[in-house]
Amino acid sequence: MPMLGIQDLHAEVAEKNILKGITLEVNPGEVHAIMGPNGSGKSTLAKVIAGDPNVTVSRGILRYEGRDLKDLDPEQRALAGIFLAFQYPTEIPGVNNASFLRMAYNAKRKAAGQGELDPLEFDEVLQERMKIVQAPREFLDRNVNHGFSGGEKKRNEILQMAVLQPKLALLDETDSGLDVDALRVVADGVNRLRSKENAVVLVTHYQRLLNYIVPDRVHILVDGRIVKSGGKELALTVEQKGYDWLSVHGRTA
Amino acid sequence: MMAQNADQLPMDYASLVRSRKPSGAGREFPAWLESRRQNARERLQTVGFPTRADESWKFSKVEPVLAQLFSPADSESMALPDMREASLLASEESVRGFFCGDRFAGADRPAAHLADRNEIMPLSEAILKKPGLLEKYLLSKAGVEDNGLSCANDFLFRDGILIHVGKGMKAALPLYTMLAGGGYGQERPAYHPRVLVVLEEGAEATWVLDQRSADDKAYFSNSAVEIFLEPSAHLDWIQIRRENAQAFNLTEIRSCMGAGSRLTLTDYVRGGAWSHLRFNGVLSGDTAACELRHLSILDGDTVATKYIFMEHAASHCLSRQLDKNILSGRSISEFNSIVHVAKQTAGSDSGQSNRNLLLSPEARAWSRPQLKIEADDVKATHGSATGPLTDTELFYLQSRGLDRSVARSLLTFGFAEEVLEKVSVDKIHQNLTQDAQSQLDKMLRMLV
Ligand SMILES: Nc1ncnc2c1ncn2[C@@H]1O[C@H](COP(=O)(O)OP(=O)(O)OP(=O)(O)O)[C@@H](O)[C@H]1O
Ligand SMILES: [Mg+2]
Repeated sequence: MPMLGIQDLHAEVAEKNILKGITLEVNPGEVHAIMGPNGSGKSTLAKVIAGDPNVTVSRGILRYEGRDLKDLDPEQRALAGIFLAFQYPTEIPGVNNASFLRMAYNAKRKAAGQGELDPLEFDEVLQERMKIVQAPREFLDRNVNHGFSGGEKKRNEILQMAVLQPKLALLDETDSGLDVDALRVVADGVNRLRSKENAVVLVTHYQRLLNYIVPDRVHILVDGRIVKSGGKELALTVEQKGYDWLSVHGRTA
Repeated sequence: MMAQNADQLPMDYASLVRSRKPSGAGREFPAWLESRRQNARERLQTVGFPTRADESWKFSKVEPVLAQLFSPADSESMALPDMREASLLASEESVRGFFCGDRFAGADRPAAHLADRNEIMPLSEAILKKPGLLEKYLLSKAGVEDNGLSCANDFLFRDGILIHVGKGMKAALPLYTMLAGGGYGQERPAYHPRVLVVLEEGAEATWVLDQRSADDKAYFSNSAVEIFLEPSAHLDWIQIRRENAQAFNLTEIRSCMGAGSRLTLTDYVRGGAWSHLRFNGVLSGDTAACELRHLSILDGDTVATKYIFMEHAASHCLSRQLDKNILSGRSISEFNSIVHVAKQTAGSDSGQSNRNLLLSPEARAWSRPQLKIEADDVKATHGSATGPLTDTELFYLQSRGLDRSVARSLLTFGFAEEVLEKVSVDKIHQNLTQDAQSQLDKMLRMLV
């Protein structure tokens, strides 16, 4: 049984068909990369897996560890191990980042039948996870993403991921907006959090990230459909040739 | 001396005020003050009371208030409760002054506090001890942007509070003043408390003004606050207005900000029948700065209206406004703000931001940020947003494992905290945070 099983998935946003029949399997231990032109539906795919209420499944199968995701609220999916690093993380003024991390962490512990950690105990966990992703200490005193630069927001998403240690991490263009050093730090962090049990789905426009986090499979999404899948060399081809050659052949294929 | 005979029909507030003589209170004021009060009374006859046809009173409850049987309180016969116990700051950690209705009700300060640093005193005492200071400042800007209600305070106030920090002095402890309204055994009293704040050149102070109700009876508090910041003075002002559901509160502020001075006001409103803030600020010296932050948490039929007039009268002045309201029930808020940048000024920088979180479909928030610019070199931003929490925000938190109701209360509380976190006195910040949290919890529970 795959960790994530998607078959012929159709989904709408604002009554517009965006995903038009996606089939994708992700197994524990695998890294999948999803590439494709702007507006092709990459974020929509990530969001539908995480349970965004703005995206409606109109047809198809969406399963995680054998469970039908359509039956689960976003928070239940999160507690079951799904994590989405957003392309555009939401700013939450007035909510302290460290307390927010602790709330999320404790929600997860509670769901697993473990006791909650107090701020002091949590700080130990936090220190260790912050090291993995080299998150600046000052992130903790700030409010969630509020006033963060584009790159800082991405790093904050990765910090959340490191704290929550998901089984299935969906990283939506986490590399966009990161400087070279930050990209390496984030990629190292992701690699250190990888294991035989975990899987990663990366949405990216750049093959550069894939030099650091080497994918098992690369999928090209065009107009709501996966038009081509292949090994890591597919990313290189796309970088050289763009998407045009695919959209023409892909749709008729 | 009572103005009203027993056989006289009760009169509404507006008629009563019109019929009052400034000297009717039987208290001796110096000649200069008597003439300023007389002048205010004459101005009332010309400007009249505001009506809702006036742009800046449009969403207010001014007409119902004027038509109610509020009568200027009989302060002499009031029994004064001891409000010290209810104080938000203890006597060891602040310099305090208490005011009940129209009457000064005591002041204290830590024993070690220097006696010559008497930052808070009743106006009645200051008239004797600091006559020059009072003559220079008290009612000196009256007549600026007049309205009948501010005139009423000008000639009806009997006592008040002086806050004075001398040249180059830094108030070591927060200054705390309580204005406690209430019935105090009277039928629908109206109060006219007055506060004069003078920070001399380079002076610095943190001031907490705690407006509250001492009981649950109806009253009208028509208060006036005059603030003078001399060059380079800094005032960090926290205002709290938590009043009973029958309380009408008008707080009229005139603030004159000299060169290099800085005023920050963090204003918190919860409850009350109608709370109205009128802020008239003049940035009169170069590089003066003024920052206004407001948070209202409203339910039921509560109305909180704000009218702000910020005048950039000198160069390189800065003003910031952040006005946030959380509304449930049929409550109403209004943010009506004008930034005026005068001719021949350079480098003005202003920002007006109004955000309203609607927790009920019947709640209303009116937003009118306006700019009147007569100079060329100006930086100005303004924006407003009104609506319920969005699915997108909720989803973000849910995607981290928080259930929807937790996500909702976290976002709602964060909305409030963005203003509350600016409160610089820890103990007050804690108090307001708890107050907001419990009120918001209550409001959110009713939605489920
Ligand atoms: N709320 C919405 N209303 C209408 N259309 C929407 C809405 N949200 C997304 N879309 C449309 O859905 C399509 C897919 O969007 P999506 O964000 O999934 O693209 P993407 O592949 O992630 O693009 P990018 O590479 O730019 O991030 C786009 O055409 C977008 O305009
Ligand atoms: Mg996208």
